Amino acid sequence: MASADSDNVAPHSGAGSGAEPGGQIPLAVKILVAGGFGVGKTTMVGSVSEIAPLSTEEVMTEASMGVDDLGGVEDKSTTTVALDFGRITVNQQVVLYLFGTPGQGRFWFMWDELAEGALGAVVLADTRRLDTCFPAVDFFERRRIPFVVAVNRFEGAHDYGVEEVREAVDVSADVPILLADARDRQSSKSALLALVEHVMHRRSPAMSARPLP
Amino acid sequence: MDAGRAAPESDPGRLVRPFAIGVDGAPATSGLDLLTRVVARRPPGDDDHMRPERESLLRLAAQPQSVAELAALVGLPLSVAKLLIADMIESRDLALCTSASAVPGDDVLHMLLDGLRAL
Ligand SMILES: Nc1nc2c(ncn2[C@@H]2O[C@H](COP(=O)(O)OP(=O)(O)O)[C@@H](O)[C@H]2O)c(=O)[nH]1
Ligand SMILES: [Mg+2]
Repeated sequence: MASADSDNVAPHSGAGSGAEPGGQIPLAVKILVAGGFGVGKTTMVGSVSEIAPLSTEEVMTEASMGVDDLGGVEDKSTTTVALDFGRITVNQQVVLYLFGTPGQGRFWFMWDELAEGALGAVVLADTRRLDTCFPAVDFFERRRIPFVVAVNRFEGAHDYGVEEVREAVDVSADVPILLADARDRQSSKSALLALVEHVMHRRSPAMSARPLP
Repeated sequence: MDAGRAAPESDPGRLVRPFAIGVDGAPATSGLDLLTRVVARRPPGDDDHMRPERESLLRLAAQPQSVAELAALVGLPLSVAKLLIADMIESRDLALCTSASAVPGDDVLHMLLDGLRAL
């Protein structure tokens, strides 16, 4: 591929912001939204995104599913995993991208790329089945990626309190846990704010706006 | 998008038709990730209609656009979109954009807080 240095140009049309000749495009910050199927990932991305959530797919080959035998792989059926994303323009210098995709064992090949350079993650927990967030929690803990747990409450499910969730999910005391509703913009926004504050706190406890409990 | 669908225990995924998109050789996609932004070096021309995906990319990337967004808008799996984008960078139809350092510093975190609070 052509080198970044020789190939940087301004867009061919002069319109738009932040892309004048010689100008720089905004810094892209990535936050992940993880959790089991049906927990509200797409809903959360959509409730805060300034664009309708987009969905793209990654092809899941036998190789990415961990099968050693690559012989005749072109004949094998190929399935895909969906990846939703949304965008929030923070200001002229920073754009926040939100990515949501299932946190299930066989999709981790996707998460390795997703996690690369991510600021952190919102792990959605489902009150109907708290254990569906375990793989995601484990994934981020192992990689030391900051995360918060947002508990979406579903009708008819047991109403957990924060400390009950902390005990069940077994995360350390400094991991923020919030009761949330992914359908609600303010609630999703609060989860993102809690994550950014948590990242600040981890970098330098003195820097965070308020002490975490 | 699976909103509205009942939550299955595990999603079996979807079968996909093999793609027929001509790319010469195997351009390196290793430098492209989801948030790499690229921009068109030229608008689509009369000769581009035979290659609709490329034509779309030239149009969609008139302003800097992320690889993830381009893949979604053009309706291609990421790996296929990356291959095509890498090929178009090699042919100088697209160019990579640069932004400030990849690691958000403390100043960026404060901007994020302010921006999110203002939502
Ligand atoms: N009660 C409740 N329902 C929700 C919440 N978030 C999402 N849902 C619903 O749960 C279903 C699955 O949500 P979706 O975002 O598609 O889940 P995903 O598989 O994680 O992307 C949808 O019908 C949503 O309306 C929530 O916070 N509370
Ligand atoms: Mg979804």
